[in-house]
Amino acid sequence: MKNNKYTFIVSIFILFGALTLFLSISLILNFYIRGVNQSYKMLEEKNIEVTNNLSTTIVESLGRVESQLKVLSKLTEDKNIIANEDIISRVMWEQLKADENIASIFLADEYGNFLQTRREPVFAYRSINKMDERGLDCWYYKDENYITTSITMNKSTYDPRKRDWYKLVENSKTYWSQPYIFDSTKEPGITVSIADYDKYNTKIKVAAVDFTLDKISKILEQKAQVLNGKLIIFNQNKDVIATSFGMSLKTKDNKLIKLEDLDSSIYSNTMKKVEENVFTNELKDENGKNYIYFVSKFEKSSGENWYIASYVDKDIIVANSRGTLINSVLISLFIIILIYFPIQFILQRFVTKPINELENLTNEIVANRYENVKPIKTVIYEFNQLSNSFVDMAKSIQRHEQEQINLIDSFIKILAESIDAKSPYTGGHCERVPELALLLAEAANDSNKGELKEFNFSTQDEWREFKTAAWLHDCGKVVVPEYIVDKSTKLESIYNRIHEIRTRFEVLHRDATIKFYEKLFLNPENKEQLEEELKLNHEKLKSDFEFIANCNIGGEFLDQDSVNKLIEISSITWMRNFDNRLGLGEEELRRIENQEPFVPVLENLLEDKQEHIIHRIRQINLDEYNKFGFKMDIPEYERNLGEIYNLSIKRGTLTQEDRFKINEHIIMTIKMLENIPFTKNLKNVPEYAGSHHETMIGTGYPRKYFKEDISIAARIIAIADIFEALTASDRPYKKAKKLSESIKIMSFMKKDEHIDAELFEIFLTSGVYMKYAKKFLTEDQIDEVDIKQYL
Amino acid sequence: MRYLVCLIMIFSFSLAEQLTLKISNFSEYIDIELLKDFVYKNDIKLVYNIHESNEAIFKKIEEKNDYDLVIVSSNYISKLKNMDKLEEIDATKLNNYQNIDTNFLKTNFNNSKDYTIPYLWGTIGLIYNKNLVKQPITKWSDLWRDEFKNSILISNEPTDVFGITLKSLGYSANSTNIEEIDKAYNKLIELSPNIKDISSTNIGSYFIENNFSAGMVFSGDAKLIMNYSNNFDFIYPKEGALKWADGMVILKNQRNKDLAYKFIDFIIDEKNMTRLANTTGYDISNTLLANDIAINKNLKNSEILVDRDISNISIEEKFQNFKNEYKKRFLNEK
Repeated sequence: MKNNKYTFIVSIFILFGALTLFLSISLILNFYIRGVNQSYKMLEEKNIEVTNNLSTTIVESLGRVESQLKVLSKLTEDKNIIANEDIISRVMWEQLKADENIASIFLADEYGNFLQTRREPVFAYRSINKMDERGLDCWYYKDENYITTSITMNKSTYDPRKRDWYKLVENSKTYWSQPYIFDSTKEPGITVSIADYDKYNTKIKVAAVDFTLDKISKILEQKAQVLNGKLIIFNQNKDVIATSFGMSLKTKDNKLIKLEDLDSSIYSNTMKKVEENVFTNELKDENGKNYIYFVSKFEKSSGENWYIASYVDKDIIVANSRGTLINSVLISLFIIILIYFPIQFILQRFVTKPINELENLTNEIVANRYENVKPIKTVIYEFNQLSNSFVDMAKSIQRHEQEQINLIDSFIKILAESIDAKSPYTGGHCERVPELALLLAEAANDSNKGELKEFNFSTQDEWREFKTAAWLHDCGKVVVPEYIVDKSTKLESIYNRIHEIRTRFEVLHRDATIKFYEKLFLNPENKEQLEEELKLNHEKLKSDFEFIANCNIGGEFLDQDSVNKLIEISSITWMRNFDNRLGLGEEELRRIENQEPFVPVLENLLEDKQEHIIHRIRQINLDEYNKFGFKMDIPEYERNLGEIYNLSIKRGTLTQEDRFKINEHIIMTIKMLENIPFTKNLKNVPEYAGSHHETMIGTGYPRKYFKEDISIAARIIAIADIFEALTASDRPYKKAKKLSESIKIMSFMKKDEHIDAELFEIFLTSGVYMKYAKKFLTEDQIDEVDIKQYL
Repeated sequence: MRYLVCLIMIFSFSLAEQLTLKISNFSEYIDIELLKDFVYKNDIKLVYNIHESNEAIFKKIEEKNDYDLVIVSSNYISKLKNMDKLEEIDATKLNNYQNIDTNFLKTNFNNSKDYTIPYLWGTIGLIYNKNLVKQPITKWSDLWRDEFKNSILISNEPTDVFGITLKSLGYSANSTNIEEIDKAYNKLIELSPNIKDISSTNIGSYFIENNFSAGMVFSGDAKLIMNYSNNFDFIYPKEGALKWADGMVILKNQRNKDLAYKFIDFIIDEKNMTRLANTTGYDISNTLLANDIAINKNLKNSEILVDRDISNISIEEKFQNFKNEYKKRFLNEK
């Protein structure tokens, strides 16, 4: 949907999705936090376990070394180890082979004799025999089968008795050297030694091993994998004894590395913590990474303190839980997506579809197709109720609409009937025109000829619109005074003023008679002559009046001679002896120009007086006039009742002002209809009704439309209007025309392009004229019509 | 601690000043006390490397020589001489040169007599465990007998092994005939099922400890074995035994040439020579001592192995092929 509206499904889904997501995220977050805490706890336990395990392993390993040394030192009682070189060398081989952690094992005595077996880089046996005067230092290098592959010998310069491991070892104690770089292998390690003392507490011989720290590093490596972290062992002097991360324990110049030499500051910081007695905590390295460390003191029987420290990247712990977190979130998302489709289906099936159908129902109502409004199929109670109420609503709207239509139609009929009833001169015009128009429209609808192909009333609304327009085509006549519409003589105005003028002739007639008697009284002798004169006078007056009366009828064209005669007659004078302002209404009185009383006064028989001119009370709104496109010439005055002016009307009985007034009815029709807020289905009514006085060539009124400006419906109404007017038998002022006559007149109009030729042809060929005639015309009106001549 | 490191450094410095003599020899082929004496007397450092075969030391020298003096067999001396690896011996530098039997030198080191001083010589014969042999062994071809399945020892010296095989076929041990050599190769392949091992290291104890029925051994080893037990007998097969002679050679372009001369002179000292022969069980060039256990036995048909030049290469290759075949078989059977 548009305008940022979301479909029901989307809304529901966002609602449910957000709810589910919120729920799962809060749950997952809770689990995550608990998981992290759990991990910390587990890590601490694991840490304790690993370091304990480690120290046990190393202690055991070193303990084994100690017992091996005891065995070696007590192997023979002889003070001279060379005497038993054979057996001692064998034992040393076996001991070397037995313990991977031993890099070298050696035995020295007080004579300076020295026997040694060594592991790296190849197995070797060394013998320094100080009993022999040659005192050689002999190395026997062995292959993997202990077969000698090489011998080197030179004079010995080595005196074991000067070594710390020999010198410093005490009775019944184990000597531990500080870690140092072995000169034989250049590897870091420690030397452990045990001495054999005689009963006089004199040192006889010392057995020792070189314990390679690399081996301890290997143990750390294994344990570090278990811990998923790093392990180091260091001593009080900050010498690094072993690391789990494969770091060389010596510097480039063959010195032992210190904690400071390691690649991270966390190691050297550990020592500070140990000095502060903080054995487990967090440490931050220079990159800002957090590590959890754990230090345990390494118990040895003697010597300096060793410490085992473990470090676990805090991120790893969190990462594990975070991995679970991400997994959980993904799974919940997956489930949400998974349940989306069934929900979508269900919503589609049970909610959206009925809603859409309901929407369609309202659309049908909007389009006034009430018959399409039927209950929808749904299992949801509310929707069912809603759909039923929709149906009820549609019915009641339909009912209401029908009532409205009936009401409007009845108003229209009343209006039309009232126009008809207003004046007998229009008779049943407004009633009959619609009937005729409908007949013609039906015929036009059926026709496919020329322009009419496009004329097609398909809906009832269109028919109703047309019918309404036909009914109302003359509604403007309501405001036209019927004395103008019905003006049957030139002097008529409310009443026929010929009577007034005839009275003046009567006056003149009497005046002539009185003059006769006056003259006779003076000159009785001229009686005969005077009688003759009177007779002539009377006859002239009689004929003049007859001329005037005939002019008043307006049945014939008034030629210029007649007009001249009219003006001549009008100049006959008569004496008015009474004040012409007496007995006048206010309005009429205002029109009289001369306010002075000057009676008796000589007046012309016929006059165009000032008071005959009636000015417009309300000026025509020219803006509106132009807006509607009216093009009729507007006369200066509302009316001109001037006697000569009226009597000199050349054709008919209507003055320019009268004609405008009558024709104004169509303006009024248009204005009235335009002002009615017609519903959409009646919007063409003003145009249909207001164009029936237009012609096809722009000579009609009020808009001087041309054919293309006029709708076919309006053209139909025009034909109906004309034909009805011609054939109407209920006009008191004229005789009804015969059918043939009427059609003939209309054919002239067709020729003059006053009416639409195609429609006129349909009018004839379809027999509409005859159908109408049979219904409304009197029998004697209906005569033979040869329509062929008009086609 | 630091004091100790300094001390070690001083020592190693003084050691570097010491002259070093580097020697190669075969296993159980010296009296170690002799070496000790030499080192003590001259105050030098001695590096004494032990190689299993002529071939092994030869390959090392071929690649890169860092020996001052090596002890190899006569045929390999020819090879090295031909490769211009050897220093011509200056007899005037040897005080004990008169102890050398020049006749022996001429006959056994034919074309390289000016480049070597004889070390020891001996023979290759057949030794067998009397308890493990049904019928007495008298000739090389007896080794092909079915009863010796997986029980005989073969030396790791290609020329020695091809030598006895050629002999068993009735050819010369020094044959250069390709056909004969090919035949010998095929015959050797046939021997494979009977071979328990191919080795030349510490043969004396190895033979005793591993219960071999029979094997080709050096006379010195045979002496060691027979001294250990009466169960063993050593014979020179009817086809003829092999005879070999090893000599000391000084390699060219070495710094310690003088020390090498000193060592040779030390070895050919009458007393030392006698001691060497007694310890190893082999013979020296002069007849002062007849040490070979079979010296009085019939050495008819015996041949001294000589350098066969080009054909030799094919023998090395063929021997390698044979060993590969044997190993394959050995692994399959396992």
